Amino acid sequence: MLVKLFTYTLIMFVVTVVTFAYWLFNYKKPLEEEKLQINNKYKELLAKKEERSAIQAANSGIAE
Amino acid sequence: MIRINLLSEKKKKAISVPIGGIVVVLWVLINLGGLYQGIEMIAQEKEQYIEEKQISRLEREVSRMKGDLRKMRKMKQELNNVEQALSDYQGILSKRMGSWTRVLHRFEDFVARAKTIWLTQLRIDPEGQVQLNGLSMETETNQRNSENKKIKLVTQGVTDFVTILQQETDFVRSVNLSQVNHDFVDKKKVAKFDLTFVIDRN
Repeated sequence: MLVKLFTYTLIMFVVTVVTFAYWLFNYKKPLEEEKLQINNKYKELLAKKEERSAIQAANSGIAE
Repeated sequence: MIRINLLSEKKKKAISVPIGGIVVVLWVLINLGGLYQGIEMIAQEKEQYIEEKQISRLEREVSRMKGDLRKMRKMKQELNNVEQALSDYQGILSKRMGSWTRVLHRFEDFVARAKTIWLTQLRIDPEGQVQLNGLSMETETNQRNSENKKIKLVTQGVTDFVTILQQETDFVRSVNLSQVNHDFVDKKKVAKFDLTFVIDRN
């Protein structure tokens, strides 16, 4: 009886661990990586925006 | 008398409920539900993060600026070209680049004003002495004949050219028409002429 209980408990533990690991490696980690990429893209876009604004400001006299 | 019951009596077996199995299956289902929730949560978190960073707005702004920048670069390039051309012309027209260009520009102007003459030869010596040979084609004059028609002369162009040169006192002096001959070029009347004068190259 005790062995049975232990076996069931072990199976449930394994199922939990496998599910969590699956979620962690297939969803959570990629999300973190994606966040990092989004952050880099954000910085890149911000830099581009600032650069272009500066160029526009510097060249505004030409357009006039 | 001994009675033997040969028919085996069926024993009622107790149905065993696999509680453990049911619990495990339920646990697996709970885990699957949790996994689904976890996936949903991740998707929401991602959207929230993108929204928070306002990536799409930034992308729109940058792409709009890209167009403006392209226009501006094009305009700047055009401006540079114009400035370069202007600087080239100024260089050509400046005295430091040599006064011959200016001299030839003046000659071009004289010939254009005289309208009916062609230059065939032009010699300019270092002292500014010019020898010029050319052709003058027939053109109408202001004079009229007995039939009240305008007279056509081949020498009119030469006269006009000499007059133009004589008017340019700042540049031309001592104009001397040494020779005028009537001739035909392509069966058309022309006047060949030789002119000498002195130019001031300064």
